[in-house]
Amino acid sequence: MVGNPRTALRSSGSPQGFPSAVFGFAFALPPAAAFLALLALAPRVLDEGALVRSIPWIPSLGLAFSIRLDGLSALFALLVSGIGALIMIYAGSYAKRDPGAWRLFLYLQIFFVSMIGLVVAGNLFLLFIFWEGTSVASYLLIGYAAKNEKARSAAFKSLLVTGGGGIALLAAFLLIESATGSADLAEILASGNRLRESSLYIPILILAALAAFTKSAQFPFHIWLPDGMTAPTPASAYLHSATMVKAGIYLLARLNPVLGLTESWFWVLTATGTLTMLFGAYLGLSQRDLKRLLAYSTISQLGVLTMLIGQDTAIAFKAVVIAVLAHSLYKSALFMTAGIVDHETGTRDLDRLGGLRRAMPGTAAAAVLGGLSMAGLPPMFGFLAKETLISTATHPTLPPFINLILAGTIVAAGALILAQAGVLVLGTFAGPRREGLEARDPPAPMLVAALVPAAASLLFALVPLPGIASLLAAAAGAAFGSPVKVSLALWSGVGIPLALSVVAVSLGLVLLRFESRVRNAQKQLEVGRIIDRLYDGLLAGVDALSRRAVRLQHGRLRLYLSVMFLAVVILFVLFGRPVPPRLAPASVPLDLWAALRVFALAIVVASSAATIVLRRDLHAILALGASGLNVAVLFLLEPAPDVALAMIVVDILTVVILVLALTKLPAAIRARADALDFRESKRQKILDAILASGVGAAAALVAWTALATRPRPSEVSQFYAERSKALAGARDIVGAIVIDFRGFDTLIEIAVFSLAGIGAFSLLCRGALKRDARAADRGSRSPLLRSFAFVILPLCMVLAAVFVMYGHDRPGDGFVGGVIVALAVVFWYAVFGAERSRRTLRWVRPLPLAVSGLALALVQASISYFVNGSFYTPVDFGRRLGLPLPDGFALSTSFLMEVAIFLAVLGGASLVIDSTGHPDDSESCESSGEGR
Amino acid sequence: MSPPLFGPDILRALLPFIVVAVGATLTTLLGAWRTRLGLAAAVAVLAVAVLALRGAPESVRAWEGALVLDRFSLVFMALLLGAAFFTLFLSEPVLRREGRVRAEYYGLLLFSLSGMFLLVSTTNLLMIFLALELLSIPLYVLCGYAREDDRSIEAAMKYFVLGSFSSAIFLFGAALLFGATGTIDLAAMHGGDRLLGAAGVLLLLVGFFFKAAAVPFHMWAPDVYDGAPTPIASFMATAVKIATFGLLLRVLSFAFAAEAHPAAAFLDREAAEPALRWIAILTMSVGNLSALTQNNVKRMLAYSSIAHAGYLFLGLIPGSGAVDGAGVTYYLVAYLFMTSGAFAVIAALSAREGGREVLTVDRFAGVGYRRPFLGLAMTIFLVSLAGIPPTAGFFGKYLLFRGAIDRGLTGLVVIAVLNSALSLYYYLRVVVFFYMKETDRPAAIDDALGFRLAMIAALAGVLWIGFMPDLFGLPGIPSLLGWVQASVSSLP
Repeated sequence: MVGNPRTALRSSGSPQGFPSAVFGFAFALPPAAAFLALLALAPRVLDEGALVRSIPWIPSLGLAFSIRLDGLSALFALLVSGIGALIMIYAGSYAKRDPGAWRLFLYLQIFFVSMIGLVVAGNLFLLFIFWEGTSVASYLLIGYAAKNEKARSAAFKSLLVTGGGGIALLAAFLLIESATGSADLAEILASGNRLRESSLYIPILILAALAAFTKSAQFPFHIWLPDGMTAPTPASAYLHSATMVKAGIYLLARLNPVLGLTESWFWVLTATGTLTMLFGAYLGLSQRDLKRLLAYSTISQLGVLTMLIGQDTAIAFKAVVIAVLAHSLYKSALFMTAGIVDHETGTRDLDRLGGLRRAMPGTAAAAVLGGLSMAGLPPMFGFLAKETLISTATHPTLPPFINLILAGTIVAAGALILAQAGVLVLGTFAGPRREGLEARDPPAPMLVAALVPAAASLLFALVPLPGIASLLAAAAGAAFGSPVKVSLALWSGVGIPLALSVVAVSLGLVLLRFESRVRNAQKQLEVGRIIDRLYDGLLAGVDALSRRAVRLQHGRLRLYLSVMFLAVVILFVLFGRPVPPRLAPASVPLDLWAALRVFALAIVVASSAATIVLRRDLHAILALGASGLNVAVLFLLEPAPDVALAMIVVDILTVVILVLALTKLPAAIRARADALDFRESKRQKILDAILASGVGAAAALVAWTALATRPRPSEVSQFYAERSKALAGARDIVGAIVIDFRGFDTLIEIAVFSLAGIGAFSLLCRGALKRDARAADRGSRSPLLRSFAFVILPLCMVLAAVFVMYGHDRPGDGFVGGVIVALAVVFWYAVFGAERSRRTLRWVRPLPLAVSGLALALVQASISYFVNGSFYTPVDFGRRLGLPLPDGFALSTSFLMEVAIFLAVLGGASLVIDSTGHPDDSESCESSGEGR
Repeated sequence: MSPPLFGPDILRALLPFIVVAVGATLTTLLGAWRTRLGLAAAVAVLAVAVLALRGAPESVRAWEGALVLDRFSLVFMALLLGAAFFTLFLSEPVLRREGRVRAEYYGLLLFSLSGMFLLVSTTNLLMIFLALELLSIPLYVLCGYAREDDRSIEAAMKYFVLGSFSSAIFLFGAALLFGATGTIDLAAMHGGDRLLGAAGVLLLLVGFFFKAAAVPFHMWAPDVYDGAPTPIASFMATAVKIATFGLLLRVLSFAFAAEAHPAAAFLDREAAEPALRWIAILTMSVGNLSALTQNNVKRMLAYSSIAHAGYLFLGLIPGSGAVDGAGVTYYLVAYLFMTSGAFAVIAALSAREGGREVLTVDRFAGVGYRRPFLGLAMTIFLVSLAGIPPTAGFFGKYLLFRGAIDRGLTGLVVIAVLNSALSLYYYLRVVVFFYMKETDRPAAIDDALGFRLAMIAALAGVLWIGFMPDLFGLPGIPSLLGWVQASVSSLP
């Protein structure tokens, strides 16, 4: 049983109530006004074919509020506004006790605007926007009783299905725009066969059909509609029977002139429509909830419409427009009466209803009129709709076999629907009055709102108004693409259609007679659940897929890294299209240098391997250091002394800092890391090894190819070699590059370096580990080491000074100088402990050092700007002032830059040293200039 | 080639970067002196940066492409500034709530921003590397800022280790590319060895893919976003993505433009394009699929940001045309607002319990009733992320998808559309929870001003792009699209 929103409303009602009746009338004004305006416009529409207006909205995206009102739009717009006005009035009484009813009216109004927009939009994307608007409004209304779990899940289901369809619609429209070059409906409708002949036709057809089917509750997307009956009844009457669910029908009819008339169109629509028609009619009979019963019969009727559009004949479109009008009228009337019954008696369960005809005669009248029309009996408008429908079953162009199936299913569905109408009306109003069922006719506005469409069902059939016929003809013509004749005579003579109609009615009456037995038989065969289970299964399946997708995401770094490398390898294999490496001719002389290189290389490889094999962390770090040093040796042999020097000092510094950090780590944690690393499954290690070798081999291959195919020996080194002395006054090319040619980069580099220091400081300073404080801070007691430390610091400073002074002329530079001094400082930390080092070496103040380095770099850059008018052209103060300076040393801006680098590097490095080397957190951070 | 001149133009071009970088230093120092000044200084720096941006010249190229200031860089810098403002709004209340207001936080944030500024205004590989490091190192630290939460420390560690590897891969690629073409300036690259060039570009791109969290280089993202403090997660989801896609746009435009002249090609298009396609498909599908079952909303947003990167990749594939710079940039503008907004809501709900954030979706039951504005705002952000009109997300997708179809990438668009349908599910699930009956253990809601401001700004942005993006404040530029198109016109 579907949750009853009204009980939820009632329970939350406040005693003084809510002036919702007034609201109802107020909110009925916009749709009523729209209805009248449309009526006034209708003659012009009929005369001119289509009224088009356009107001610019987002011109940059080619979007305009363009409105196109032709017969088809006018028919739908009239229904939307006319029924809308009635529904608002109805809702005013319906929601009387609900203090939050303003939400209901707001949502209904949102829906009204979106739906009108949808049917009059003259631009595909405008149509799409309104289309989504109706989905959202429907979602809000179905989930109106939000505290009810069923309502929430139903709302969610509806939005998932219709929203998903909406996105398919967007795709379809994008494709249509791409195929026709326009998003304007008028231009698209005038594009003739462009779409049908386009290579995109099938995708467009499928996507558009998907959108229409989801919105119009076609099998198997119908599942959201019965569940959607949790919506307040005014919404069910308005959205889920009369208007919104016909948006899909509108879309298909709208696009029929350019998409229809093909085999695929016929098969997709007719097959789906027929299936839906039967399915809905069959399941409707087994329902005991008034609204659910109506929902299934709506589904069936929507199937009829889809099937008709698929047939693509003039008579089919005549049947479409008549059925749209007939169904909207009787179904809204029936929904409103169901709502009244529910409202007055507190239930809409057929098993608890019955015999209400005396208690609520007005309601019964509306229900009887609606029911007759639904059953397709004369003299109602529904009869006319059914007659026209049956007459299409004798389709002249189809193979007789298909004709037979169509006729058979239409008759079967007709019989089932008739039985449903009977069950609905008789079950509620006829028979003996159930015990304890108190009811009377509702307030006048509610009753009138239900009676109007019911009466119209009769009136339109009895008094064939010429206006209606011509409007329907215009609508059918717009959908078919060429004029369609529509006459609304009830009596069309004796023929096969009438005979089939008689068969259907008789069958229906038989079904109605044995209704309870049929229902029992249906219970054995639970077809209805299948699709719901499929939906649940699909969601569960997607969930499972999702879990599988995140299964790799278990948080372990090793796997993440493996995936990354594996992906690189796969990218190379799949897309890199590796050409067999062109091996260079072996022109390398086999001399002592070559032997040395091979030796160094062998050590690099061996020590790298050792880092993995060696079990003690300390040893592994030392092996890493050895590997780095030997790479430096390779550079030295190149010869690239500058690079080698930088590499050596950095390598040493890294090792020292790592060791320093390691000694501060509690032994328990080191042991645990060791255990984790070495007792884990062997397989993992082997996989790692394979992957690592793969990556290594790939990198080696690429590097080899790079060497073998290098297009030019090296233009760059020559370029710099020629210009270093001339432009930068430097004999050391690397120095010139770093300081002069790429000075800006260097500036950023030292900033990054300092930043890394700040980062380490910020992270480590308040590290999560509680360390053993002072115990570790004693340092070494060896007097030899202590005296050595005293000697080495000044020595290193002298060395650094030389590097800084002659950075431009000789190997070595400010960077190396900075690292060397930092090394000496680390040595002090190790020998004397952090406390004493800090006390003694007061000038090692990381942050000021780094900042002053950066500042100096900026200052020297500005100096050259102000002196030379150019950034980074060296200014030699020494020569300008005529100072007697040693050969090779120039007191220039380049020198200042070297000093800046020195300061920044020393600052950054000592920040790291201080953070890793200091045993006690808070104090070191405090003294380094930290605020609280 | 003589050492390039340093004229007033270059100074003005550098000014935005200088303002942010120097401002970062000053902020750190000021914050160290008086903690409260940190935020004020950061806001002031951003404000001055806005002025510097307005005064910046529109076409400067210096130092072998190390500094390239054109409209493209300016637009991206403006977006990055926006992301930084959002992050500041969120940071102040979160830091205060958790008692973590400290000197270096805002400084680090600004340093990272300065790296992003450089990243979008250079074509020089060396400078790209430096900029990447400059933006990453502060982020490594900021990710681990919530120190008593192990997940935060873990996030920092993961991001750092994997980030270092991605940097190494990038460097290798840059070296190969240099070997193939003899230059490190992308704009000057032409000819050279195709094989090496292709290998180099591929490795280069892997480095960027990592930063953009494209599948399969995405694995760090959910863990890191989840562990990092919420404002930082927001910063990474917005600013880092924007900067990376700016860079990708520039690099790929150059690469594909050079490819158009076969003699000058250094990129093997037939190799690069399928790779990009696969990455696009994988990124959106894995992102969306994984987001489906997330109960932690922050993690869900992490996966969602991966999925959005997937959609953005559509714009990077030239197909039968060229790289769709305008589509990508437009999408990024929309993405900035909706993602920042969603993170603002999450930040307001992310009070810690026992040192850990509790962000499971069931705790949010009923939030929509307790704070109607917050509920409405979150609904609109999520609806926009799902791409439902009329919101920013819809027009972003519309432009990207339309462009892709025009370039003949219909299959990809269909996959993207299917993915969008999938994404509805997990975005709406959160909305459904927001409007559920309250649980007995409802989430604490923080009403700090910063969150409010961020939400209002984001909401304004989302609705502005959704309803009237043609109302644009700058003189002479009629619309958002016009602004974006003008900016990408400076790409090749």
